[in-house]
Amino acid sequence: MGLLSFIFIANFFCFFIWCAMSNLRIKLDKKFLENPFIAPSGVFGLGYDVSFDYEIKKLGAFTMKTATTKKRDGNVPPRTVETPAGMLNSIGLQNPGIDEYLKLFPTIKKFFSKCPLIFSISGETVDDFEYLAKRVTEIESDLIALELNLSCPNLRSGGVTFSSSVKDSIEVCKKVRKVWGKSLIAKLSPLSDFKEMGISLESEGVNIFCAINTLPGMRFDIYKRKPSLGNFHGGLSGPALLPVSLKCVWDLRKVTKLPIIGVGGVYSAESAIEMFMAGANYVGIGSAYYNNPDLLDEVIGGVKKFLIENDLKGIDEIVSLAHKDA
Amino acid sequence: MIDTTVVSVKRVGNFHFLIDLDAKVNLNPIPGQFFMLKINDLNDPFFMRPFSVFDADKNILRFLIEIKGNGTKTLSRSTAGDILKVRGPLGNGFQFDNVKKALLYAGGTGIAPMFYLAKNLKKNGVEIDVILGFRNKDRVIYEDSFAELGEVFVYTDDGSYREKGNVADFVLKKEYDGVFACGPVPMLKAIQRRHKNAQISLESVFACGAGACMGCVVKSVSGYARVCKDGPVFSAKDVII
Repeated sequence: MGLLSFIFIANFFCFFIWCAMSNLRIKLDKKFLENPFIAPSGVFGLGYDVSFDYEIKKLGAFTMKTATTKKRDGNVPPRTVETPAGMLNSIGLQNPGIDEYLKLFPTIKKFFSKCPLIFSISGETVDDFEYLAKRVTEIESDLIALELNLSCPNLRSGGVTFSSSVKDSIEVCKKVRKVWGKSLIAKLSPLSDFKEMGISLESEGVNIFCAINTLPGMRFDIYKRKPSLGNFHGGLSGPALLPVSLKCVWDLRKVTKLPIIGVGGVYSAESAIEMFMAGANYVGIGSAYYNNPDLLDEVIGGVKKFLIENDLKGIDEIVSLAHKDA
Repeated sequence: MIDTTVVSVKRVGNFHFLIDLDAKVNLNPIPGQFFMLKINDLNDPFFMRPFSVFDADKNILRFLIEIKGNGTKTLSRSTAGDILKVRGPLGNGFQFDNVKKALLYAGGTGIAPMFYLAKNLKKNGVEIDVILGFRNKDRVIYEDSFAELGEVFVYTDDGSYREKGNVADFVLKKEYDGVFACGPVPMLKAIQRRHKNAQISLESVFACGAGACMGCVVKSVSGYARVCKDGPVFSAKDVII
């Protein structure tokens, strides 16, 4: 019995030391996140009404599903299709609209309790973004940041997405910055001009970049002889996207010192470490979670182990590490 | 996720197999609920695969699976002792607490949730009529097993076995206070027309299987509904299929 107690206490002690040595806590704005892993918008809906309850509460921060000015029913199904090591989705920003969203917010906040929340907005005009940002200020004290989902087509520019036009993106950031005081995140498309976008948006008051959104793609149903998705095309996510997102984060890091949330295809501790080394300060865990709901635990454990084995004190020490001498 | 151990994998007829998994604990699934099965650790196939419970007894979960694509082919090659990761039970199952006389329609692989439902109805002392529909004689399975639970009527599209036609050709002679159906969309549409209060189990491609991604939606009287979370069992009057 004495020996057993000793082993138990020794193990507990080792575990305590191990935890203390491999702290993943990281600052975002003025708040410390328990870990640098952030849910990208849309992947887990509004969080509280899904069967991933326990797992998603362990995230460092949670980005809520993008809100629009009015309710959106979303696209015609089928809305998802598998691809080699990934998936395409064309959900179409289904959401209840900002009014309903704000009514639901107390429930969302209560569900997440300690997990910090990021609100995500998207508009069809610059004014939509400004209006939405103003509305979100009603709950500003309960949020750590506001994300601008710039992947929506700008109706005033003939349907070209905001993120593919530096000028349009600047206009959105300028207007939103005037009404939003906390951290502002610009979510970029892989098709963005990262150099111009990085430099321009930084000077318009963006505090954090989120790179990248999904990559446009298609699949076809050869038996039905038509596109697999009801909306014809969708956005590629999952491990297949990883090399693309790593390159985007790498390019963006070359032009900005602002924090980057690296998103796209992270599916393991190793791929998360790659993302940090490419230049990300935080890493989005997205659709790979659908393939492996234990992913967050595996990534947290794996990254901690990597830090210890390589005598590194924290995440900050691996951020942009691959840029040294490059 | 739950680590289950494969107990056995058996071929059933020409197109299906039965897989028994030991979950170590009794997960008490409700008939109509489903589990997401992880195919492998390779990220390809990317989605976990949803299967409704064919049968469950204490720690054992049994699934009837049609071999159709890479995912089901890989699962069919599992052997006893393999570890298979699963999530579940998920979704809303059938409601049958106050049912005394039940009519069950099952088309093709749609027999999977109906067998577990029939067993539970029988346990509750419910009188059951089961209408099974298959494409042809080669595809007829589990007729005898259903016959142990109630009166069975079999239809084949080409008439190569029993009655020619589909399950909606079954002539209603009795009153039922519970109607349940699972099968292909045209069959479910026909059931919808005959029985406004039927409970129907829908199928869709699930990406998350958790109600998060909004990918598997079906049109309902109150907008798009998630098949994985709001269903897969819906009241026939609530969905537009």
